[in-house]
Amino acid sequence: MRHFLTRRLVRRTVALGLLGLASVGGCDTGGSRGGTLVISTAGDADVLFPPTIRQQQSVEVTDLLFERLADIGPDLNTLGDAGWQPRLAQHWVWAADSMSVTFHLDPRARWHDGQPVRASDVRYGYSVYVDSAVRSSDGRDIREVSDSLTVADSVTCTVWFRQRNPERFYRIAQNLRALPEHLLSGIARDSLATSGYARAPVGNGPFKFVRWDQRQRIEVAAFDGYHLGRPSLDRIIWTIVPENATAVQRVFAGEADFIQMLAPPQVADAWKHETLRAVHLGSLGYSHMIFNLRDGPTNRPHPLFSNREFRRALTMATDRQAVMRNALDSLGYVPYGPFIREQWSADTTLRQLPLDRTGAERILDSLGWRKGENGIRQRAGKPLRISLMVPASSAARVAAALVVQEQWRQIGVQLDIDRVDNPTFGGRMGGRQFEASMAGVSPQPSPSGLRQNWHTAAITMSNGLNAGSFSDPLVDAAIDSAVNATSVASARAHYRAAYQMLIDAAPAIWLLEPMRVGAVSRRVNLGTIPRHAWWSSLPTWSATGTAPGRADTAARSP
Amino acid sequence: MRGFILARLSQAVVVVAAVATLTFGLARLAPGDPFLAFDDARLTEQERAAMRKDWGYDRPIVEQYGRWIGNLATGDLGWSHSRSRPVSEVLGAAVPNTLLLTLPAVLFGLLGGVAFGTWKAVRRGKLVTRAADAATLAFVSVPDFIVAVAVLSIVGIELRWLPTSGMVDVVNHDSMSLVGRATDVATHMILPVSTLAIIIAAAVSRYHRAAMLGVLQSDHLRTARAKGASERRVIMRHALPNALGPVIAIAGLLAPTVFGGAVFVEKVFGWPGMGLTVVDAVTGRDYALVQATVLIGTVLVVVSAIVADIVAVMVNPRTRIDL
Repeated sequence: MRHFLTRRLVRRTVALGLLGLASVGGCDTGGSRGGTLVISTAGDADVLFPPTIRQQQSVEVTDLLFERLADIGPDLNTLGDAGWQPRLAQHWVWAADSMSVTFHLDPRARWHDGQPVRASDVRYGYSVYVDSAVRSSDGRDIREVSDSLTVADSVTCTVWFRQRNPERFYRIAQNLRALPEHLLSGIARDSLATSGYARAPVGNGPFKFVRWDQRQRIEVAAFDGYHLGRPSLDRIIWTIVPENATAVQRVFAGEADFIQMLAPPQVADAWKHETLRAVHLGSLGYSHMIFNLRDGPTNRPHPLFSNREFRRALTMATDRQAVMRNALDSLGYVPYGPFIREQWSADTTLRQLPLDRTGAERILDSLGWRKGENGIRQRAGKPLRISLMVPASSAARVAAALVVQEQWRQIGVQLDIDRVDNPTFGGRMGGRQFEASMAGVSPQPSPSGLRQNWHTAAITMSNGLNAGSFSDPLVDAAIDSAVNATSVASARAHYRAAYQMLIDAAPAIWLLEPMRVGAVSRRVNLGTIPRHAWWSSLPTWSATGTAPGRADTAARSP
Repeated sequence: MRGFILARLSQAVVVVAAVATLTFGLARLAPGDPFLAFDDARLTEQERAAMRKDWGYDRPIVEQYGRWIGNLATGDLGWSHSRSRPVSEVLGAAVPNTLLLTLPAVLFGLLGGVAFGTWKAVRRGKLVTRAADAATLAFVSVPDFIVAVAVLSIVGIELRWLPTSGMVDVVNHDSMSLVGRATDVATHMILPVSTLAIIIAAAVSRYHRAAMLGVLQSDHLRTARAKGASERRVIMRHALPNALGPVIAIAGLLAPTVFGGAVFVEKVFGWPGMGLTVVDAVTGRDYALVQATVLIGTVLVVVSAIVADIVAVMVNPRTRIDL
C-alpha cells in the first residue's frame, strides 16, 4: 500500500510538473550573456570527427563544433527544402531540372584557427564522407542520393544528384559537413578517424574545442568569430561520470547545471528542488517487442511467429497502457505504431488492435494451443514458451518485459526473459539469433527509416535493419510510394497506409515512447528547444550567477 | 636471497604469461565484439565485417594471439576501439590515477588497520572493542560497492561536505593556482581514498588483532614487564614488531583486493582509473584494452607479492627456511 501511495504521489507530482514544462521550454529566454554551463552525463564521446562518430555524446559535441550547410526547420520537414534554415550556406539555388543544388557559403564563416571556410573545404568534406575507406554511415546516405560535388569559386559549390529522391536535400544538408582541407589533406583517409584531429578538432561552429579528458570532461568555448553571431554562453563543460545515477546526483548536489534524462521519481524530486526545474526535451524514440518470423538456426519460417493470427493474439493480450505505466510512469506514451509523435508523418488516428484477452485466448485455442494443468498452453505435448531477449542495461525495457511476462502468463503463454549485455544484444540482433526481442529505435527526423526496418529488401540489403525478417508486398509498395512521394500530403497518405498494415500484421508490439525530461539549474536560461535535438539550441542558452564548483581560495589574479 | 628473488621472478613470468593467454582466450569467448558495441544503429553487418577485417579480428584466434604477442614484444599494446585511441595512451592516463587512489589508500589502510588491530588486542574483552570487532567484521563482509555508496550518500550527498565524483572541479580547476589545483585533487580524493582505506583497514585490523593476541601471551613480554618497562613500551617496542609478520604477508596479497575494490570505488566515485577502464573495456568488448589492463593488473599484483615476500624475509629471517 505504501509503495502504491508513493507511486501515486510521484505520478501526481510529475503530472503537475509536466503542466509547467511548456513555460520552461521555449519561453524562458533570459537575454543575459555569458557564463559557464556544466552538463552532467554518463556517456563519453568516441571521436569528435563528424564522418565517423558513433556515440550520442559525440553527436552532441560535434554538432556545436561543426556547422551544417543548412538546418532542418521546427516542423522537421524532410521533403524538399521547405523550412530549412541557412547555416554555413547563406542560400542555395536549385537547377531547373532539380538534379543539382548550388550552395552559396557565408563568406564570413571561419574555421576556429581563423582560416576562412571555402567551398573547397565542402568539396574535401564530401570526398571524405563518400570515401569507403573512411567507413562513414552518413557518407553512405550522401552516396545514395548524390553523384559528385563541384566548386565554382571560393564560396560556391554544387551538389549533383543521382536521382530525384524527395529527401535528397535533407540527406545532403543533414549529413554533410565541411572539413578543413588545410589541416587534413596530409592525412591518409583511412587514418583520419584515428588521427589527433579526431580527438581535438578544429571546426567552424558556434563553439570551439578546448579539451577532452576521456571519462572526465569535454570542454568547448564560445567562438567569437562565429559568422552567425557569438553564442551566449562562454563555455560548456560536459562532466562525465560512469553511472547515470551518479550523473543525476551531481545535478541534485549542485555540482552540475543540467542533465538530459531523469527517471520518473527524479522528475518529482527536481520539481521540489530549490535550485532545479524539470524541462521537456522532446522524444527519444520508441521500444517495441519485435518477433522473428524466421527460425534463427534453420532460417525456416518460425513455427509460432510466422503465423499472423498468432502474432495478433499476443498483441491483443498485451495491455500496452499498463506496460508503459509500469516502465515509464507518466513520462511516456504508448506508441501508435513504428514512428514517434515528433515525426511529420505521425498519425494518431490509426486503428489499433484492441486489448482483448478473451479474443486472444480464442485465437490461441483455434490454433490448437490448449491450456495444460499448469496453466501453460500446449500443442502436441509442447508447451507454449517464447524467449524474449532484453538488453539488461535498459531498465525501462526490462520493466516492460516483466509486465508482458505476467500478462501473457494469464493467457497461458510462458515468456522467458533473456537479459543480455549490449554487445551480445547487438550481435544476436544482427545475426537474427533471437525469437523475440525488446528492441529500441531512435528514428531520424525523416520517416523514411521505415524502409530500413520493415521493407522486404531490408532483410538482405546492406543497411537493412529488418531483424525480424518481416515481408509483405503490400507494405513494401506503400513504403516505396511514401519514400518516393514528392508532396507531403501524398507521402503522408502512403505512410499512413504502411503504418496501418504493419499494425494489423503485428510483426511487433509497439510498447514504449519515452519522453525525455531533464533537470536544469534555475540559473540557466534556455532558448527554444528543438524537438529532435535539444543540444542544437545550446548556442542560445545563457547562465547567470556562479557556475557549479568550489572557488579556489588560492586562485591567481587574472 | 638472490636465488630466492630469481625463483620468484621466474614464477612471476609464468603466472603473467598464463593470465595473459587466458585473458586473450576468454575475451574472445564472450559473445559480441568491439564493433557490435558501437552505438550506431545505421552501421550495417557488412560494415562491421569490414571493420573486423581491417583490424584482423576475422583471422584465426591463434594468428591473432601470435600477432598480439609480437606487438607486445615491440611495446605496442594495440588500439582501443571503445576509447578511439592507442591503448598505451588510455593506460598512460588511467594507471597514474589508480596509483594516486590506491597508494594512499593502502598506506592509510595499513596504518589504520595496524593501529586499530593493536588497540582491539590490547583492550580485548571490553564492550567497546567487541563492538569495534563486529564493525570491522561488517566492513569485511559487506561488498565494497555498498561501502562506497554509503560513504558517498552520507558525506557527499546528505552532508555535502565533499565533492561526490570526479578528480577535479571541472569548472575552476584550470584557473586555480598550483596550490589550489593540488588542494582540489586532494579534496576529490578524500571520499574514494577513505572508502578504499576503510575496506583495507577492516581486513588488516582483524589479522593484526589475532597476531597481537598471540604475541601478547609471549614470555618475552612478561620478562619486559618484569624488568619494569612501561606498558606502552612493551606494546610498541616488543609486541608490535613481532606481530607485524602476518600484516606484511597480507599486504602483498592485498593487491588483488585493492584493484578489485578500485573497480567499484572508481565506478561509484567516477574516478578515471584502471578499474573504470577495465569495466568499460569489458562492456565494450574492447579486446586490446581488456588484455592490456588485465596484463598490467597482473604484473602489479605479482610484483606486489614478490616485494611483500622479500620484505617478510628481511623482517623475519626465519621465514627464509620455508622458501
